[in-house]
Amino acid sequence: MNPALKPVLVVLGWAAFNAVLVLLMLVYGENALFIGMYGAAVGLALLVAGAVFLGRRDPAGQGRRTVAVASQSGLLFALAAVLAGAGLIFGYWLTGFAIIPLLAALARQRKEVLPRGAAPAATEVSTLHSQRPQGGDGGPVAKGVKAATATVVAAKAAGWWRRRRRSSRT
Amino acid sequence: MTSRLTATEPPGPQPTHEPPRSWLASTDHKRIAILTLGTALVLLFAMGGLALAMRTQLAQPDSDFVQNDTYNQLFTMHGSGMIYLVITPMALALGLYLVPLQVGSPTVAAPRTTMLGYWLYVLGAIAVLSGFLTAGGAAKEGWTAYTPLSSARFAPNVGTDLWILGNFASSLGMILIAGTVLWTVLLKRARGMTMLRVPVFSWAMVATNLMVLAAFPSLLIALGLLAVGRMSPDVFSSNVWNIGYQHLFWFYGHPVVYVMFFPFVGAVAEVLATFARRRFFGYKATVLSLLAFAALSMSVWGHHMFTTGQVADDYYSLTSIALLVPAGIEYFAMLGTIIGARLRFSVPMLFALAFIPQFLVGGLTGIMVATPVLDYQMQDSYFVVAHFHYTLAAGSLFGFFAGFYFWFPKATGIMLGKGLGHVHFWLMVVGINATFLPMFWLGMEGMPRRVASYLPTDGFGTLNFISTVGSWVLGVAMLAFAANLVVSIVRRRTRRAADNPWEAHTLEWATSSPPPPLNFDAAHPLPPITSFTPLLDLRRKHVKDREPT
Amino acid sequence: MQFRQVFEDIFRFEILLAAGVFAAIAAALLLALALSRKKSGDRRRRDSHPLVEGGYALVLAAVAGVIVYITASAHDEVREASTTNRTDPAPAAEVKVTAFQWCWQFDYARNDKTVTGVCSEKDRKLPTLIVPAGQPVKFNLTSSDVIHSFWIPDLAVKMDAFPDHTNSVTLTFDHPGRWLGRCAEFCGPYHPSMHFYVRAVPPEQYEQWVQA
Repeated sequence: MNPALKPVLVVLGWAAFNAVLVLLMLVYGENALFIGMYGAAVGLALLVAGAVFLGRRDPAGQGRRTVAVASQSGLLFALAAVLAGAGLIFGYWLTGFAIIPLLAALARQRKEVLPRGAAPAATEVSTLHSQRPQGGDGGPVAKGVKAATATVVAAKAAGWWRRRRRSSRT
Repeated sequence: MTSRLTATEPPGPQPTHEPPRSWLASTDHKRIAILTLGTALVLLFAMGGLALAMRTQLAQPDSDFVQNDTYNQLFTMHGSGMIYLVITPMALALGLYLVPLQVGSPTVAAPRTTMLGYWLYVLGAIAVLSGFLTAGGAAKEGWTAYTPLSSARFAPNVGTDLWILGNFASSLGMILIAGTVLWTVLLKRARGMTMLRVPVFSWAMVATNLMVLAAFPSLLIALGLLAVGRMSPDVFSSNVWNIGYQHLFWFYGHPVVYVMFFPFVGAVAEVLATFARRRFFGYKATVLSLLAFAALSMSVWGHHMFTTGQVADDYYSLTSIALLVPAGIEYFAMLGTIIGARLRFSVPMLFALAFIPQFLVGGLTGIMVATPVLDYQMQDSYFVVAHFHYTLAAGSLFGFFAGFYFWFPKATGIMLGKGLGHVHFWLMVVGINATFLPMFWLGMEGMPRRVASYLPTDGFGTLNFISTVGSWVLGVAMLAFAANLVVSIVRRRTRRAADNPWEAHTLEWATSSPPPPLNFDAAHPLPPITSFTPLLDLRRKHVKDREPT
Repeated sequence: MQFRQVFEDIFRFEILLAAGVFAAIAAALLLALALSRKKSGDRRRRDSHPLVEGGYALVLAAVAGVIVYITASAHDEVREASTTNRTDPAPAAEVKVTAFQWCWQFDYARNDKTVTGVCSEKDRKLPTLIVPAGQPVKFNLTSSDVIHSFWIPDLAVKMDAFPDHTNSVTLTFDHPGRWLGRCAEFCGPYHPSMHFYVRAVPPEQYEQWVQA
């Protein structure tokens, strides 16, 4: 019935309903400061809608995709952030220490991604017990190809956004 | 397309298979989600333990099981721990695990950002809890940390500083996780997975993550304001910052209630439909009501502030009461799913069924506390405590366990024990209701929340004692759960889970248990996606094909 | 006692409504459990019923509208009775209530009379707020440090006391009596014992007391 419910419309519709509620607030005479606060949140939702809209198009992202296969940088960035924050409590010298994990994270970050267009090899299901069907219609190679293909297709959408985040973070 | 070479002889770095790096530096959304859920479960036990200490203190009037100052730390850490560090992460991690699987995506968008979110959460939790080790003790101003009480003038302890830092970090982490999961469901769906074929649970996550992205930044600002008050407490001698803090805080603080609720409604919906062997009833109405619910919930925050005398009460009361419309539609859909169906009463189904009446108590009393003339009596009394525990413990926690028993086999390949599951369930039902039902009457009789003791002359003794006994039952129930977890893992060889042990309907059940790193592979390809219940469609088609024509 | 009266009326209304809804949903749930025992298979193939759902949503919206109308009217009634700028009848007494860590101080507009006490667990020296019965009394609530809340549970009235802000509420105590008041907003270590008494006395007795 509704084959073309676009994701951006979901976010926009949600923001629009919120906007109606903001307007209703004017009728009830809430303090303008706090109507503005709600309005700002609607603005945030619109930003999300905008990002979704751009992410859908992504003409620039073609062919520049990369896939991350490790994420040590996550821990290092988090450590840097929390150390910097702790500097506010225990003294600014701690903020200085935050630079170490920050630099380490930046250095790590480049090593975590595969070269452009490449995809990770298939990995075993590592679990408490392995119970994947033996044999089947594909050896590890076939599985790997399939998985790699899937990853690259998926990475299309992710790549652009990830780079955006990274560039805003550094 | 990618060359065949990349699979056999890959260039560059490859994912490591050696623990702990294969977990702690993973880019697999399932592992990040399991880490988050595991951390949250450990903290659930810790925060529940704090609650047991509080209930034990309150069993008798004039008791001195814990000191007043300790008690204040306990309720602060219990409340803030459960909300910031347990139920919110659980809710979002459930989505992180399931959404990519349910929409047929091999990965979550931006997995390293997701992992950063997890680490911010863990380090934040450590910062919050480390307050107990400092000289002045942990934070003790309540989970709301109202100013000026939480400013450096009235709360000089380092524990409060750590509390602010930790909650800031972990909430920032939650925003990152929510963002990547939302991106996944909106933009990384498999071919054929249109928005209106996205399962109910994943739709619940769309609504949840929208709320997180729009409302959680407000908490970061509020915590930033607290941080300013830690450095120059004079800020809060001006009323606008005090009332402003409350607005900022509750602008986050109400939506978070639904962040801690929607994913579990989604879980209950999937469980009910599966064990009723039917499609979830009223799919489109439910999706629409979830989104409307989420939007309305952004507008109700002032109902926490009726007694401040400084908000437009009637607006917030209107929007709060209007919530009954989407909530009613969801109840209609849940009941429509199970009435007339041949139900199977497995453990997940028991939790899902108990969720229905128990959450209802929380919802109906929610209308009461959203009524200003009633709230003038009930606000900050035990009535409110009873109300929100019915939503969060009797509701969300039951929804969580429904989902946990349901998806545990998928995530680990191990079935959880049935016997201990029943023990866990029935003790939970008894414990939850015995603990929280008496609190409604305590509140009506005038017992304020956040008091470490009361006088024999207050007449609160009997009800408090019942409540405390209930909480001990609840403690035993959680031990039964822990035992079930341990026993099931130890006996994993005899408890192997099939790929789709419950005959469920959505894509995660089409892959192996546990799923391969990229979710679907040659042995477990994506089935045709024909509706929001692709596996049910396949089964029905299969049955039809075999019927003689 | 306006607050208490309205509280009871609206509470009765909402608890009856809630009980009705709970009973209906519990019945539906039990029906589902009962029907699931039947031997014949599940014949239903219908997964939604837009007309019923839409109609049901309208009914829900109407119910919400009724609740909002009734409760907002009751709120207006309370607000009117407790509003601060009224002249008919003018407040017979005006008291500035100052909450502080951790007790209360009551300053009467007339005669610069001040009452305070010691808030401790043994409630012998609790401050007592003396008011004339049957006459409107205006309270101006404020705080000298953190946020507190002025709560008289038996009268179902609660109002926060903020620093740098005054909240006013006018109450009429119908008959002589004594009620316990509490601080409802967590305000630090001694919050649990931050009680006070309100004592309503016949107006002539109040006159004597305030003159003394």
